[in-house]
Amino acid sequence: MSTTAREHDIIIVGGGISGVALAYGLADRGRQITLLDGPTATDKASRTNVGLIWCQSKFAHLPDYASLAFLSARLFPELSRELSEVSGLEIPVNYRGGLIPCLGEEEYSSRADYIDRLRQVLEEYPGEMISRSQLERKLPAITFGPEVTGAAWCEADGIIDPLALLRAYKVALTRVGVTTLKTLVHQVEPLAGGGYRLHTATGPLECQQLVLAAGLANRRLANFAIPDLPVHADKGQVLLVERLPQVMPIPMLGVTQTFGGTVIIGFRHEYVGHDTQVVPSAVASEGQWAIRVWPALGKRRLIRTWSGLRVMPKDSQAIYSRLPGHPGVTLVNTHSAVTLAAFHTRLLADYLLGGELPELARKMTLNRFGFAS
Amino acid sequence: MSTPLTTTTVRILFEGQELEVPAGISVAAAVAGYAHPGHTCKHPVDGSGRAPFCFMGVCFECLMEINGLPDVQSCLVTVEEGMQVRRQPLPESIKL
Ligand SMILES: Cc1cc2nc3c(=O)[nH]c(=O)nc-3n(C[C@H](O)[C@H](O)[C@H](O)COP(=O)(O)OP(=O)(O)OC[C@H]3O[C@@H](n4cnc5c(N)ncnc54)[C@H](O)[C@@H]3O)c2cc1C
Ligand code: FES
Repeated sequence: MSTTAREHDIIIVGGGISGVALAYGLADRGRQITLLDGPTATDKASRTNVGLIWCQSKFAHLPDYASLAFLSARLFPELSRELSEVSGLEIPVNYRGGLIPCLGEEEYSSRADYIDRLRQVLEEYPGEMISRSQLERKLPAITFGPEVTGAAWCEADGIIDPLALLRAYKVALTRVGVTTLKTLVHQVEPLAGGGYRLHTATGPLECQQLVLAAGLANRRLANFAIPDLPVHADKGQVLLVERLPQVMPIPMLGVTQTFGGTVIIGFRHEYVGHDTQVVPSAVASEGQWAIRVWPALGKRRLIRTWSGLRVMPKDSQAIYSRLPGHPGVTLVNTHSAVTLAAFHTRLLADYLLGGELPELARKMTLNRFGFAS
Repeated sequence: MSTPLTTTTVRILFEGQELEVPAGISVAAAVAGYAHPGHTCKHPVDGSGRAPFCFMGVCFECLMEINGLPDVQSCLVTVEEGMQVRRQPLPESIKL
């Protein structure tokens, strides 16, 4: 282990989807960027998610955050094309909208009310409720269960292969001059004369500016400035159904066919700390719901199940913030970092370099939790 | 000098073709090693031919129809005398 610290310009900690998206966005700014990523047992959100680029039907109480997802979705097609070109890798993606199936009249009308509210706060909303027969026309190869009354439809949604996206970013980073080091950061130490020393598994590193994008581990890494970062593990558990012919040209939330033909079932949110156990009764309840939506699934094989910990800020909104007393450290945490990847790449670089946040994200700093910036 | 191996064998049918294979091996090993089938199922999305790959229950590339039951991971089933094994039925015939 070396003991002399190596000097770096900007270090980004975390090579999940947030870290790579931010690093790629910084690459053409003439600065030297180093990305640190070390595998941990539980920080695997970027490797366990569904890959939905999802805008609809959320955050009526946080209109700016709702708008941010729509903005990111609009930036995605050009970004995914560019990443494919730079990395030379294909990224399966479709931008044909998204559907949320409804069971029963009550669920349909409460979903309709929510969308009305969202339309009012956002003024413009590219979606609507559709009837069962309209749903059947959108997904003609699926026979829906008798309880399905219709769906929420939004044309801004989409789905991307999340592992292909992560991989393309990583390969692209090697082509645009970003250095990636595989190492685990244990602790961040602010230095008296400015700058930061990172104590890592492979020795100390020093940098002028630091970006913390390590998902749940941000809590530990930021504790020199904030002892209790308001970010929690939100456990999801999913079932994977065997490969089927492609029958879902438009992704459905909760029961989503992947590009490889498998179907991911899952929608649970649980706050149980860093527990990643798959609980049979929990995944079974998800499977039962999926069969009510799409009965034929009941006859198909389950081939896998897994869990993942979402990175959930306390009020469910993204955090883009300097750390209190540390203008040289920027922290990024969001629970929809796939959806927001295009926003992170295209519109956050100025902020990471010391500038202002984009208008829509101005209220997403740590100030809202009572921390001074 | 080593003692010659005496192997008991069983007979299975793959697509109607009789194979004499060592007892105790998996259906996937029997078909791959003794029938040279090319493929044992087709990828439901792109239609490409697939065959047993990991031989340990992980990849699901070895699905075959065994004794009339489709969708069986053939690497996890041991050969039995008279077993009827077929390629996995084409996914087009599945009603979704
Ligand atoms: C089941 C499930 C389904 C989901 N579906 C969707 C979806 O459809 N759409 C969507 O937008 N979002 C979805 N999400 C959420 C999304 O996956 C997360 O928002 C996103 O992955 C968070 O990425 P991240 O890079 O911020 O954090 P992480 O994925 O946790 O990445 C953090 C990285 O930092 C590394 N790291 C951690 N600690 C250290 C350290 N000390 N030193 C060095 N490296 C470290 C980790 O190894 C990891 O690589 C889903 C999540 C789950 C669990
Ligand atoms: S060969 Fe991989 S699961 Fe059977």
